[in-house]
Amino acid sequence: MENRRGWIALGAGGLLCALGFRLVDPARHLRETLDALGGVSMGLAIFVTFILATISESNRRESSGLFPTRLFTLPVSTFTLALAPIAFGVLGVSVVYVVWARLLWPALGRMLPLDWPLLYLATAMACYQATLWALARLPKIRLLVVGTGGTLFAVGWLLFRDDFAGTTQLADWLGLPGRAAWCGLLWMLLLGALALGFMAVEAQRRGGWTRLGWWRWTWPKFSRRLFETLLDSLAPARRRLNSPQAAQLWFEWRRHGLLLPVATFGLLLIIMMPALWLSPLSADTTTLTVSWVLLMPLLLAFAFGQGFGKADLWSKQPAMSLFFATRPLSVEDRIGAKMKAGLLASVTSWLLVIILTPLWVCGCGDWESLARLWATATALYPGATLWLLPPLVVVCLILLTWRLLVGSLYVGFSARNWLFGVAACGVFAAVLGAPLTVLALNQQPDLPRKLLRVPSWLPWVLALLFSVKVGLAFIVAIWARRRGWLSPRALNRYLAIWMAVTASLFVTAWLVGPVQGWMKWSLAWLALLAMPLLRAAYAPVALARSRGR
Amino acid sequence: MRMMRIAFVPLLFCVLVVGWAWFVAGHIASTLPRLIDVEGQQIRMLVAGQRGPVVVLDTFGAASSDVWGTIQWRCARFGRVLSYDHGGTGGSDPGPRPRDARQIAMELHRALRAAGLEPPYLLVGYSFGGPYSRVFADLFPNEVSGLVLVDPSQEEMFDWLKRHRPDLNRISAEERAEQSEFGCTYRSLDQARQARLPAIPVTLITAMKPFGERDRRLRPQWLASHQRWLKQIPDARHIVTYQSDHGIIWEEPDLIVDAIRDMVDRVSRLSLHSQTHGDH
Repeated sequence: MENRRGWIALGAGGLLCALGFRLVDPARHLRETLDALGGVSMGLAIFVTFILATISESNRRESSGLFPTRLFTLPVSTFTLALAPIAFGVLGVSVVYVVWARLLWPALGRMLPLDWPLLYLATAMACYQATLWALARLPKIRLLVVGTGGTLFAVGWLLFRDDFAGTTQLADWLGLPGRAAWCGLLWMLLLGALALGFMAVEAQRRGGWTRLGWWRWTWPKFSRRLFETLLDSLAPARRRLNSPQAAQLWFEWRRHGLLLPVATFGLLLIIMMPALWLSPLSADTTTLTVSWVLLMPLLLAFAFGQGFGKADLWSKQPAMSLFFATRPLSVEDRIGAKMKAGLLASVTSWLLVIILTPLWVCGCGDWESLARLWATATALYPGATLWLLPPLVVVCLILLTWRLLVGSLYVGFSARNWLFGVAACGVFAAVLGAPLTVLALNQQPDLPRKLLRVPSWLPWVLALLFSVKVGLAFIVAIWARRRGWLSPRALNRYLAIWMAVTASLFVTAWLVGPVQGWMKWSLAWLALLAMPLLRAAYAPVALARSRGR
Repeated sequence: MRMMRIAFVPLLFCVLVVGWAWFVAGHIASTLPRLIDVEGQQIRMLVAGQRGPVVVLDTFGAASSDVWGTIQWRCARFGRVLSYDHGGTGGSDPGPRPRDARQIAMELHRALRAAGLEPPYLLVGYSFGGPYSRVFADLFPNEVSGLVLVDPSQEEMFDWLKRHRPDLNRISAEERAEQSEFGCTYRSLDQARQARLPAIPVTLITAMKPFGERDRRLRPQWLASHQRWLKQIPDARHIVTYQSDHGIIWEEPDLIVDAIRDMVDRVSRLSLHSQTHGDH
């Protein structure tokens, strides 16, 4: 039980959900909202269980997640060593599922089956653990395999639905009842995963697989070079690392920036792959899917942004290591590298979305509702604005993603555990809070009316608070400047960036709001709040202090 | 001196940003609708403009008065323009049932008085706001100086739909029993049918651009219902636009603003004329 706190947090989250769900009246709410609420919370709980059940340790020299070597000193057989963590993971994920299926979902008016989902989750856990150990020496391949496998498992449950055509076809072909065929496959996968896990642990115990041996051929030189060239083309290539700043940018991009595009790509697969099977999709489903796809980089950036400021995102230690602290880089160089890597990550993620989404819609979607949306836009906006808006909106989405990624740099820079905890709680609150807010809106018919009654003093109070915030940011920035943590050039550059980003958001908000009045001005107000000032001013202070510790 | 050198640019930036924030806050505060107490019922209302005739903007109950934004602020240059949320919709308190055209008109009349807006009123009714405006003009004939109907719902069109397309505009028994604005659609249309307009100028705008294939087949009938109704009005103007569909208040706000301005001119000419005749 290494992750005792994590398990306690998971249990507490489940308890909170249980209490929250008891307050919901299934008869009074939209079925889709309740399903979304239950689905998101259960998916999150299962995802966290997979992370908590991960049994591997980091090897500083080789930087990989091996099976914990200290366990080899135990007087037990390799079979027991390999089976125990897998069994523990399977037990954990099964308990989480049973709790959700039998205690939480019924409160939302749904009863989930137990048989095939438990087998499904057990197989997924066994495959996950075995893959981690087997590919411990090949982290990039492991990331690819775990990502792809995870995607397949995340969408594969669709095959077990009674109304899924593919199940019937396979069953006809095999001469088996549909679900039984897939369950048979799961059993085979489970046994294969156990065997692979055993082989991996046994090999590591005997000192094998350290030289990789035959594994090398699976990752030939030319494909490795191709992959590296692709990544280097987005950030400075090695031959151009002629300054510490360029080297730091390259490091930040490879170590942290890549995460957002990779996660975006993985989630795009998760969202789009089931649709390929279920095509042709209805117009409404297409619109819903495209909406989620467009929200995804923003949501991911919001989650990743809380840890983006860490010296090493993948390290469990929040404090900056001596190796990082003694690099010949100033505070503003480090912040600059983070910001550039963040921008690169945002641009790459949105390029993926912009390229893949139309292809997907062409392949299996229905253009009708999107065409209707475009028709409405053509009616709402005059000619020049209509053609100006799409590129402006894309630029704003990239900027907002970037802002979410780098807006909380001070959290990582501060290297304080409690601040990470607060930030993580914020992410969870936002993820669970969104469906709960929808539920609250559904439950209280008076709430929209109350929300529309904006008191006339509110804008003035907000302006006052904003002024205080700007004043504090000014004091902190000048303090950082006097301590030598910020140069006037860096300060002026950030102010110029702030103005440019805010101006573009303001122009877009102004053009998007079709109707004049308080709503349009409120959008303009939001543009003013989008880019951080106080937090940006505090980031160099937090970094300089943590570097000195 | 050194401090000044360090702080000058950030200070200038802060002053500019804070100034801009207060400027935007001022605009939000001045464009926010207010709550008017009408015999205990809170009605959310926005009055834009300082002087000129009182222009009342009305639409179907499901829509918040915020849909009028662009038109209201443009018209505020030449009149005092009011938009409001019907009782029980947007930010207004629910009012007594049934929510039919008469009830809506009575509530509007009380709200106008509570807001201190004296007649005569120039009514602008969009969509189902058309029948509501006509019923108001019938109930308070001496307080209405002109009528602008923007792609209004017409009882004849609903009759036609009942006969030829019973699948459309279906209102369930529950909705009827609820006596909401939607549930009272046919009752309100009957009240509009019975309404007798005073001798006032009327402008009617018909939006002919179809929204979808089904709408394409219905549009000629829509136009015909408007034309037939206008024949009964002595001082009527008919504007037909092919540039916008039923969402005309977003698509062609300038056309509506021009029609309202034209109506304001007509009403003031008529008022001048009647004063001159009265003097003689």
